[in-house]
Amino acid sequence: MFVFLCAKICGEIDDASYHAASLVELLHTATLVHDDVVDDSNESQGFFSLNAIWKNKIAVLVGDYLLQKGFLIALKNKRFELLEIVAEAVKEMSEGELLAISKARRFDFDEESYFKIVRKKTASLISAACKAGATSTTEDKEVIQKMKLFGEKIGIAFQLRDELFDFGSNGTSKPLGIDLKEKGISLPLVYAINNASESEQRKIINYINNEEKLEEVIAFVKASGGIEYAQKAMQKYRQEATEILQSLPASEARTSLEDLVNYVIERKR
Amino acid sequence: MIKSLETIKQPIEEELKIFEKMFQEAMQSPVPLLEKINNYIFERKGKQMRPMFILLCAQLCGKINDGTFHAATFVELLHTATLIHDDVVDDANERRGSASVNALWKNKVAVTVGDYWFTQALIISLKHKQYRLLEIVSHAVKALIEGELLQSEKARKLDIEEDIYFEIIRQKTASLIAAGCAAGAASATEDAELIEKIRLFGEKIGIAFQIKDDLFDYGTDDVGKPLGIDIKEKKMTLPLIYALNNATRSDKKRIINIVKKHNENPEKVNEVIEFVRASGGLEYAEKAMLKYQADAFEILHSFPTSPARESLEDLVNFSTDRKK
Repeated sequence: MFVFLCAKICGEIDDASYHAASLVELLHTATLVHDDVVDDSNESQGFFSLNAIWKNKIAVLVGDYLLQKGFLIALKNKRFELLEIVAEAVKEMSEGELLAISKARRFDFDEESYFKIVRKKTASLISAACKAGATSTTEDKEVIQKMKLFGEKIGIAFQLRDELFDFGSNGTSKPLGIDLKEKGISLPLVYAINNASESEQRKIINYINNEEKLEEVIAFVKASGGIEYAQKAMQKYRQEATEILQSLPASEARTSLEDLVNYVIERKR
Repeated sequence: MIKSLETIKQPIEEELKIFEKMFQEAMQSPVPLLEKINNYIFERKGKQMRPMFILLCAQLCGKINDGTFHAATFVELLHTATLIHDDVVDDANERRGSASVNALWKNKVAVTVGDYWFTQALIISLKHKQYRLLEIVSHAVKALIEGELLQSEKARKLDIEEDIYFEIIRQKTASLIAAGCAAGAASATEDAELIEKIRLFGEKIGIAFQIKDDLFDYGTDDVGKPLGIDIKEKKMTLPLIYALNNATRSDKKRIINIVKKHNENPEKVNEVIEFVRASGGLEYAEKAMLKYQADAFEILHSFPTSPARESLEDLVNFSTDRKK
């Protein structure tokens, strides 16, 4: 959707736009599949561990297969510029993932590194989708750059919305607080920890790895205003994304993108 | 007589240094964890046979230039990324005698690092508009993953025949060496016939190289990897395939059962190794290897003598006579 709408806002959708959309989707799927690779597969013996090893095998192979497939399609159609855009995004995502893993081991997040990780890990793909769409229909470097930035803003807002679901209880299908355990990082938590006393900081960081204390972590984040803070940040990114859109001439595609922005922020799950 | 790698490297000594510098630059990263892993891998780099083949093939056909270095960097990055993913797929804890990336930093990190390297290789080539190079290596990229898929499938069913074995090593090992040699040649000449000849040379020597690797698994040399590891990973290689095809029904059943169910048991694995040795599987594989080596030599001999040709001949000898 982002690829096509960004293509349309800049010109007429053509073959290049379809290539862009399929490439982005292929690589997106590839990274999702690689995301399914799990650790600790060789720690215990038995059926479960064999199963985990087998699943890892498939995840790596299928992910690699999708990556090379996207690569070959782009090459065959001589979409070198497009290929570079999405390859950059996959590289950024890898960097973001590694950054997040190394930070999560010690939980030493400041806001700056939090946003760096989100920009690389989550926003870079949406940003690449928007840039690729725009590149398929216009030569105007300034507009392409604008669409890339738009994608980045909305990508960050999207991530913040997801995180807020983890702390709220408004009918989201995800189990409450799962982000704490799995990803170990979210803006509400980062804010809360950075604004706590040293002894509280230590206590909460200990709690994060303890499932039974999850409720307390959530309560702590709520009490420290982390939720409001993240909400404000999300609105700021939404605002910036909207402003970029409004600097472009009004059109059907622009209206749809505006609606898409609103959907990202106001969705219920 | 087999010459040392140092002697073989002589005609391209300066060029290898330039390549190393480019390769190291390509590995630089602003992410500390990545930097750490990259250094770890770089310190344990392999023999760098691929860059040597690429540089020498370029020199054989003309002059080494920027395009040659890009080819060498791309192929070595891709090769390293493949090894890292292979170790995750095989759940292997060792690589070149050291702990593998997945053993030290776990699977998720290893997969991500591999992806990073693959895209990095791609981006560098795109930035330098090396479209020809990308076209040549794209077939190898496809073959690499298809070979890995085929091997995984066969490791599950264990119903492998000789032609499938050759198909797997052509895809998994030979395709990248072949593409590297072709890319090296293409950087120095426009002659399509010549480039194809060099590609074929790379394929032949790549197959011979892999058969040698597979032989090590049954040998007693110190190869930096534990003996019988292929059996442990249920990889059916030429010595074993030959032995099974020439075994009695009951022997066949017994051996396949070990590979299938007792592949973690060192004593049982030894039984397979002994069986393969006794049935002449090693001699058979060695003969096959020498046939591919002879084919590779024949191609080289169609070129006029030169220091590059001589080094390539030595490199071919090294590939099949090496002790590790």
